[in-house]
Amino acid sequence: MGLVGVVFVHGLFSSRKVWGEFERLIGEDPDLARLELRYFEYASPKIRVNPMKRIPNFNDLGESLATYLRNDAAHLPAFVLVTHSQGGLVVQRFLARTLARGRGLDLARLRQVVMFACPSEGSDFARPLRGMVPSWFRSHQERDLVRNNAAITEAREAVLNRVVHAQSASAHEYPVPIHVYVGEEDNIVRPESARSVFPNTGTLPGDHFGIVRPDGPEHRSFTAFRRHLLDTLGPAKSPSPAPGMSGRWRRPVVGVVRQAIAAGDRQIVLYGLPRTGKSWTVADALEGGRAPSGVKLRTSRVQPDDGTPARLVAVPPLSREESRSLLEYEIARHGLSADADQLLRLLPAGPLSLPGAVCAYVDEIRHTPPELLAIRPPPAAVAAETAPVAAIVAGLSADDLDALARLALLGGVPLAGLVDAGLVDRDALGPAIRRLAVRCLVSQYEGRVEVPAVVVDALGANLRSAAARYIADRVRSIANAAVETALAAALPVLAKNWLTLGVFEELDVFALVEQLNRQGHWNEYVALTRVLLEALDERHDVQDAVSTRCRLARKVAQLGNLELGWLLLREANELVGADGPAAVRAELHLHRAFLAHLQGDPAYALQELHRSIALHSASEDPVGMLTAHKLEGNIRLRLGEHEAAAACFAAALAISVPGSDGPRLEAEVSLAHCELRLDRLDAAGKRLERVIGQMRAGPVRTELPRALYVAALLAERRGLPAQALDLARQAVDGDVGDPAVKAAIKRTVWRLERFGSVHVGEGGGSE
Amino acid sequence: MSEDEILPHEIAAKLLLPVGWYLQNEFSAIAPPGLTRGTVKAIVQYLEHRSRVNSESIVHDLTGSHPGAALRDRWVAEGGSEDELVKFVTMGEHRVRVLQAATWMGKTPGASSELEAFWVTGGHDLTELARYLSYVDAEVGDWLPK
Repeated sequence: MGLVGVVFVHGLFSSRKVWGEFERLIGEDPDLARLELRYFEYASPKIRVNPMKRIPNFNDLGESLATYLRNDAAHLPAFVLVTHSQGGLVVQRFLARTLARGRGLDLARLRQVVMFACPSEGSDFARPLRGMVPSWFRSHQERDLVRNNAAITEAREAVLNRVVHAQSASAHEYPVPIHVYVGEEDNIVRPESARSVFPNTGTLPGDHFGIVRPDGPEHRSFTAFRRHLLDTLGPAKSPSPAPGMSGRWRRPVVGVVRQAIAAGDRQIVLYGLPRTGKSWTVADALEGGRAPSGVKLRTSRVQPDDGTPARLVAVPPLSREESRSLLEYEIARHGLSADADQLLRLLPAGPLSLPGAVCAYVDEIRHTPPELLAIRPPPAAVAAETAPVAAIVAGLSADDLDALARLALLGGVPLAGLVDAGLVDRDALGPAIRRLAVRCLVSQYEGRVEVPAVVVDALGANLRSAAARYIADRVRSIANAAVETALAAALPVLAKNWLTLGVFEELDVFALVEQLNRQGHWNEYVALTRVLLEALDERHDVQDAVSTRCRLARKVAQLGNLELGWLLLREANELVGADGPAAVRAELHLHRAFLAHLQGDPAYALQELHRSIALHSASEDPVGMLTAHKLEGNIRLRLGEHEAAAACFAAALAISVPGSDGPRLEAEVSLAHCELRLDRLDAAGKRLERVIGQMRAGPVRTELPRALYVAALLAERRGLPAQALDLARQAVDGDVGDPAVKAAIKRTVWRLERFGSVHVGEGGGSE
Repeated sequence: MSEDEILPHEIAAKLLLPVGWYLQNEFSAIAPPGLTRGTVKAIVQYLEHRSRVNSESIVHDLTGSHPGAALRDRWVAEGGSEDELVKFVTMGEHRVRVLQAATWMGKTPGASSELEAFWVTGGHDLTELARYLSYVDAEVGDWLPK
């Protein structure tokens, strides 16, 4: 907290002089140097001697205080109201009337009320005076002080219900801590009247006036008052940034406020979670620290929703860039050698999004290495900054907590996409989002809902895990049928969120990656696999990290990004090292061969392939051998070496691997293709008949379209155009997963339909 | 080796690997009598240029690009027919794009129907087109993912 005002309100028949001792002690206290002392004064003579001059009543005084705070104290981003005696009633009337008018958000700057010896239930002290002086001669103030005065009771009830026990910050209620103190020897305001029904009360030495005239810094009136002031200023170990500097790290929002002022907005409300630096933003946005005449700036912990004609400016927690900027500034200010980027990496994102916590962390690293700070519970000064947010979250209903936890996991995905994907029921979640948005616990942009990190932290691990299990179940049940586009698009963002929130394991990412691949969602496959890699790297799972990198390299290379493919393989190579397990190194060589093959470098591809085969052989890995022989067959095919290719596919088929139906069927179809190209039509025909029958009867059918396609070309070669067309049509009608195969089949169907059957021999002549 | 070296057609055809054996075989029938090494190189360069162009159409104006205009100028200067050259490179581009689409996900081959329209407009023999498309279909089997 930066500059804080203390607005003193004196009592009946009194003046600002009553605060003289407090003023002196505050001035001598270095911890209270950031306080600005202000005095609200009003006329309070004992009797009305001039009939032409009216003595204001409590309603007048409440209005007057409101006006004073709007104008004379407009520059204060936050303030504490301190009252003595009937000054407390003035403040209570001010609070009650402000809320009755639906202007609760005007109280956003009011951080605390401290009332000394306030006759909240009236006073008997003036009763003797009342008998001596005609009633028309007495002041309204003194008359109003009578015990059980209806107006006092009404104001007190309003303050209790709408301030002390307020459930939220809104137009008609606003939570402000109120502290009540009674004097041990007060014979004017009896303790029961002073305490009334306020929950936060204390008793201090002194009589009715002695209670606000502490004779030294040890006096209990001062120590109690000082504690409240320090609470408002913030923890001592949480040095706030210097005034005028937040413009460096809150440039966007400061700019918005300045633009609003320049555009002529007269009422500007900055709203956001506690401790996000709203007051500093106000201070920085104002030239010379004062608002232009007629311009009112207020801060609010909730998003005003009362239709107030004010310009609303959201002050979200610091972005990562803003945190970095503030860290750099604070590090330089303390003359430290710490690295802001390292701190951003090490320290939790939630606290680092609050300016005070950033300052507290930097203050802490003067004594504690950042690495230690990262693994210990947060320092008290940091925890103090996040506590108000945690308190708001803790006060949510169970339904809103569930909604908040789910939104934290779904953050960043367009809401419409989540609804389309079946992950969110708009009707169920919509009202919760609105409630949470009013409390600044979620922000909405471009149809997305985001939960700030500091709020996510406040949710706690159990709630996050429960929400993760719920959403993961939904994802599984939806994905079991098919991964539609909306879900495919959402998955990488979800996975990234879940990784950040430590619930990644709830999502079966390996299975989802395979489903995305099978169903042709390749961009999403690549994005999700990259998140998976982050997770594998985090848990130092070298074998899976290498294997996943290889598969990703293969896919991105097929998608045309060879450069990224090679980069991924280099990363995998660094992970494996020269002495890594033979099976892992063999897989790496195999994928290098594949990329070289795609790149049109068959010589290097074959060289890498032979290294792979040697390692697979040494590690007795039949699956690796089968895959390597198949790849060599593909390389030979593209070179037009059909005989050699056929030998490779035959070698692959000679390896017996249980449960490898898919790769074996691929090799069979490729071998049939080679036989066709080599004019071994009978062999090709028998093979195709067998594998097509096998696939039609069995569960593995991914190669069926290609087998039918080769069979169509075989029929064409045999001079059977009708059969060729029929087979090609069967192929295109099947579930063709690969678009290249699909395009080839469709092209052949079109050609056969358009031109009939033609065969071109290797010599170029038609038959 | 000079760019202006006149090449026997059978040697030139061997240098034209990117067009595939079908067009390599056809090349000697259309090659200009004074074919030089530089022109053969220009054909290869032009097909490479086209394979990098993000164009939906495989039918195009040679003069629309610097490599195309340079090729046409050389070809015509050496006594070749511009129409034959256009037909040759269009067929070559069709093949390249079909094979690219079999290799790289997301690449789209040129539509065979577009090649047919080009063929009809040019008054070429449709049987020849059918033979060529059949050849490409057979060859693409060597390239399909598996």
